[in-house]
Amino acid sequence: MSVPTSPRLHANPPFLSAARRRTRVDFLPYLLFLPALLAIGAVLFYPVVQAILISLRAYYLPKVATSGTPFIGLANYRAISEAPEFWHALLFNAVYTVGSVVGLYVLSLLVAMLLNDEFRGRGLFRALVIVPWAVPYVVAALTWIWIFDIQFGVLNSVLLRTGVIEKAVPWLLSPNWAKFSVILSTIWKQFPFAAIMLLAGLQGIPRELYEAADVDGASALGRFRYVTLPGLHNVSLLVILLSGIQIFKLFTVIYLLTAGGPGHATETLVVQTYLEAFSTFDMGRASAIGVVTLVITLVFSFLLIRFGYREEAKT
Amino acid sequence: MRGRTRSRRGPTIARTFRIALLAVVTGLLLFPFYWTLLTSLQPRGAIYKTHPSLLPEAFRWQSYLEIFQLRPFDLWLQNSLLIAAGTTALSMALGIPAAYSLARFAYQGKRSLGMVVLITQMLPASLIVVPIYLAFLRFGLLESKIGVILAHASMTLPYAIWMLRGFFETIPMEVLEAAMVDGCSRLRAMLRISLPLAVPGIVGAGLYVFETSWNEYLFARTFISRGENMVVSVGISTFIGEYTVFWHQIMAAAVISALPAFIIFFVFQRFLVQGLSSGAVKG
Repeated sequence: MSVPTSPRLHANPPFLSAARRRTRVDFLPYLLFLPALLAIGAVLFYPVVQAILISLRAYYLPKVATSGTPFIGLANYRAISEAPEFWHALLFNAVYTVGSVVGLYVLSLLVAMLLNDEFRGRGLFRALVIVPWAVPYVVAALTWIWIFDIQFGVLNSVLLRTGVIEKAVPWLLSPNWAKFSVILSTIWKQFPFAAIMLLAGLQGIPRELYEAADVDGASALGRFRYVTLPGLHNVSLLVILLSGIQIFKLFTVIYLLTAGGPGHATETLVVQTYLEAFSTFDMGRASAIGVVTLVITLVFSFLLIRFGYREEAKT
Repeated sequence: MRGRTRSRRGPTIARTFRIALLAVVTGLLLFPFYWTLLTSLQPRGAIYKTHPSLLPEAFRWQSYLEIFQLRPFDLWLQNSLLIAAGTTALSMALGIPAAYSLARFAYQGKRSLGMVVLITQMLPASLIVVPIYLAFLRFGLLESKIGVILAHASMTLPYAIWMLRGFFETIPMEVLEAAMVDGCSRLRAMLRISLPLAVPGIVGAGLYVFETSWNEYLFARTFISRGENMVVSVGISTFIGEYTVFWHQIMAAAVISALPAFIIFFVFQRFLVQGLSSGAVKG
């Protein structure tokens, strides 16, 4: 048991580093991380490599026993690039992500600003507003399916009774309305995280800035434009990128609400991957679509790490 | 000074308007919950009509019993419980040492390891589900709880490491140094001093993992599609497009299956919010 001779409380205490055993590499931290690294490697990185390899093969599950899984190069990629469904899914994936993120950002900002005020019951309101976060995706999907029901759904009933619409709307049954409906449900389920982050951001804006704006005679709009929005710049970037990446690869909401239908109207890349893999059982083609999803996600993750986190670290 | 008092008390009308607006927004956001709960407590006649009443017409709780008779609902709940508990145990067993390593040591490659953790959160589940499915098919892990636990743990482990690291970092270094002066090895200092101090954080991260596994759908559905190992999230999704189970019963099942997540959420709301936002913000 080696006792450090002069324990000093500086920025890099002996506990942290192997400084006291300068000549040897300190294995303990690596050893502690190793089990987790192996697990992550086995169940996350190995499958990614495997998926890339599968995407280069003809891998039709029912026929694997008879014709094997021959290497076919980029044929799967060529096939999806010639399929209109793929381009449609890519386009709708973009619409779905951008639409959801814009809606979610506006809603979160509104909620965060309303909560950023001192009044009694604020804690309660804050807890209540973020409840959708806690609800399981499957339960959220069931709830929305019931609300959107064309015949007995409460949404149609309320809109009919208040005269907003004259005829029941096929929320999940017509291609265009289905697109709208999955975006609406996604916003509802995903906004709490953004609201909490933006609230934290608002609380980080120094009060003096608002006071200074008041002294200068700024209107409420002016305060919002010149103090609130710039003050939220970094956290907004983070929230938009994080939510965007998450929504881009969100599966359960769309899969349960519409299963990508009607037709292919609400198919995103992840839903199409899943359907190719587990309805058609064409694992090669599914993996090719999956790899495209991965590449897009990684590009945005790179932006997140490059700008989102770095900006945050500066503040 | 004037500006300060004004911004704190504010003009009463604007203030009232803001709180009223907040109440309306909150009401709209909570309406789906209200509607789920209300539907689950109504008789069939009250909900299967074009204009259902927005207020309760009757009180009928029997749907909560019927769901157990219509489907093996108790079995689904039990399976979810076992899988979520297994996932939590596995994630903590692997996550605690890894998080401790990131939080308390300075070493080469630490940044890259932190990055690995971050990147895993970005991988689309739809991509990795295909190779995992094929591997499970080969090793006979389909339709088993073990397979789903492995898949869930792979998903929750990075989050657990990220959250735990934040908690370990809050333990003052002086405590550890004092222990080492007293002759503790670094490993003993971790087990004897850091772990007990981090218990609240470990419990918080564990509950978060439990909730994630309980709520998960994609892996659970793909690896267990039928039979006696089905979990509750997948079980209740089979009601969609089914006409032998009525909506008041479906909503009762939904309420029950959301309950664990809700309890965890409300008890640890502040805590989870803190852990998540600190994990997300930390570079």
